[in-house]
Amino acid sequence: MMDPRAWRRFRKNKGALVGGILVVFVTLTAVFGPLLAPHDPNEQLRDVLLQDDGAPVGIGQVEGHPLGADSTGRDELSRLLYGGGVSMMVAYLATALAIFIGTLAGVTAGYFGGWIDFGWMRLVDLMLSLPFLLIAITIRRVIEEPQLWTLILLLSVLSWTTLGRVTRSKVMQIRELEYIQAARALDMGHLRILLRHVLPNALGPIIVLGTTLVARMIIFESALSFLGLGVEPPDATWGSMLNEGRQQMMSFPRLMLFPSMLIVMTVFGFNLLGEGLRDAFDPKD
Amino acid sequence: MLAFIVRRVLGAITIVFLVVLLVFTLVHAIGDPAAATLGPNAGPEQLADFQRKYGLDRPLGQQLLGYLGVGGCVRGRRPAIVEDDLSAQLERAGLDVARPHRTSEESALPSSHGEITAELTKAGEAWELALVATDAGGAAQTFRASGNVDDLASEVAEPVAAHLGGGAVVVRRFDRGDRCGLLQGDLGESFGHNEPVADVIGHRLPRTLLLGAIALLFELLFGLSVGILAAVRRNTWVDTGLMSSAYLGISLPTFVTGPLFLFAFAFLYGWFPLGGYGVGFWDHVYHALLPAFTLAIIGAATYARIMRSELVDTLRSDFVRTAAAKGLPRHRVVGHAVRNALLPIVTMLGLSMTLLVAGAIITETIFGWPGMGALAIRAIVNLDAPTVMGVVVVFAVTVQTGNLLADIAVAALDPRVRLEKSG
Repeated sequence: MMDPRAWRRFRKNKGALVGGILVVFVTLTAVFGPLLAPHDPNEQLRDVLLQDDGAPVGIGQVEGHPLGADSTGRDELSRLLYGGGVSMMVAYLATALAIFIGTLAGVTAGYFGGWIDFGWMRLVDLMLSLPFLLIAITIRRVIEEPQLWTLILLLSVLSWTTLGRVTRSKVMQIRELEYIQAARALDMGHLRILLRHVLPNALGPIIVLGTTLVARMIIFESALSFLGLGVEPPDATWGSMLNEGRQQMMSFPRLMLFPSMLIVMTVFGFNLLGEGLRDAFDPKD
Repeated sequence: MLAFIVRRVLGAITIVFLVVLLVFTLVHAIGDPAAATLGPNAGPEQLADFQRKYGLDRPLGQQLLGYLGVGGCVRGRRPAIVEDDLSAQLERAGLDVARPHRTSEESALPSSHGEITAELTKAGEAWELALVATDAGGAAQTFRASGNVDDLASEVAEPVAAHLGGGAVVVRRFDRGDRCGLLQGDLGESFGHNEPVADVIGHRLPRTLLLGAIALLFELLFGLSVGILAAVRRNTWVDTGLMSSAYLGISLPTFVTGPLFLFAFAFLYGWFPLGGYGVGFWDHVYHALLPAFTLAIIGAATYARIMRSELVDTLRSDFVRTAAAKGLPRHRVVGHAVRNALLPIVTMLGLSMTLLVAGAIITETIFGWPGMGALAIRAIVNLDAPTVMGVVVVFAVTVQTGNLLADIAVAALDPRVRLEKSG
């Protein structure tokens, strides 16, 4: 499936390597973070972690709480670890779903053409011209009981379009190739052709766009949580922690800095990796 | 070219309409504006009363037609205010007032009663009330008043009570008599503010436009100059440094940079105000600098990347080589190339509108900039339905206009696009 030359190009790309390392690091933290977290992220340890004047303890002031506490006396490190887990889970699942919808749209539109193509592409046009953040906020606001899966569904439904469009044009190129016509001549079914011949050859752009999509999902989820319309409190995500920290930036700037750094690191990592993959699959220079 | 423009305009109108339809359904069918406006302590009677008062009890289709202003009108606050005032004053005058549309108890009406219908019309700044009172014997008389909404009921209450002469009276739903609704350019009245949505938006839109204009200026200024510099010095350390920064730039969401800048440049160093809007034009601009810079980072980085890759391609093309071979000075050669590399930038300008609108929501929240974005968030959180709809309409129209202008500009500059798309 993967061209060995592509792999060689990828390995030589320093940016992609850095991106890959960041992605692996963040993903591992997200997966194992809750296991590593020393405390319950939502438990308020007011006696231990709040000082007499109500201010939370800072970095390294109390044994066992290396990053101190947030303003309600919750262990900062545990919240960052759990929050990362939630952010990354939402981002990965939403990306997986968006890839599924986008690939389905792109492959069927590109392969069958005609009214299927027309329908999908008008839908893409419409979605791309929506004021998406406004719509997302409105949807989050009117949903009666906001749950994690509704957030994931929302993020993916609003984000599959670019992937769908790029996959479609790739599939339209593939459709005209001789081996597809040979398969048709051998009376192979559409489904089998799509799965065995079209999809594997269209995987390049799907992987590249999927990688950068994870970065977009993290930004999107964090933005919603930042506005108080993402993951429900008291559960932490980096976005909601950043928002809480921002409101106390003058007293405790560190509460804002940790989640900021983690968000940027993660987004940067996925973007670098995506760019590296793009160069590997599609070398121009 | 004309056919192309007409088709694009029709497409844009369709999209605005679909956005209106989507958000209207979300807010009115899935959300509950009455509960959101009255708060968690409101009882079921209060909720039902609010819904009847603002016509939220009607079927969704009717509400939508009313909002659009097709066959009837969105009722708004003013008729409800006058209706409430007049009913209270008639009761004080000793009449037995029944309002079936508020209680849905048509059957309990007394057998002999008078009836009041009324229409409220906006005439410039003033409001005009045209009220028809029919007494128990069937004698109808029309009463008129004009002026401030809060005083209208008092002006007509006494003569109306005298005409009816006591007993029971049925007050029907007061309505807007003038042409109104979205299609007539009327955005209705806010639940939360005591003013028309058009006025609420009218105050805030210029502020967001100012912020967006400065941000766009920063985007083009930094983006294009960085892109050109990197392309001219391609494959040197200048190029690597600039492009790495641009790459970091697109990974910096506004909700990370905003609080960080606010902390560093406003709180620690005190170079900029800690948020807000200021007094007077130049103070507004000064207050806008930091949020606009925040808003511009991602766009500037994107422009820089596009400009560099386009310009690198163009600098390799034959006409540039010819120009250089003819002995044209370096800066004039680059000038030629830049002009040809600008086309994708124009396309990006349309997209910039979408990004700036989305960015405004978060940036204005962070910097306490009292514009459309902050208004949007507050209206959505409070489910102030008319304001939400108004904001959505304005945003959708802005985004569509931006894309449209960019498309037309590209088509005008590049005949290939025009022919391909209309062919």
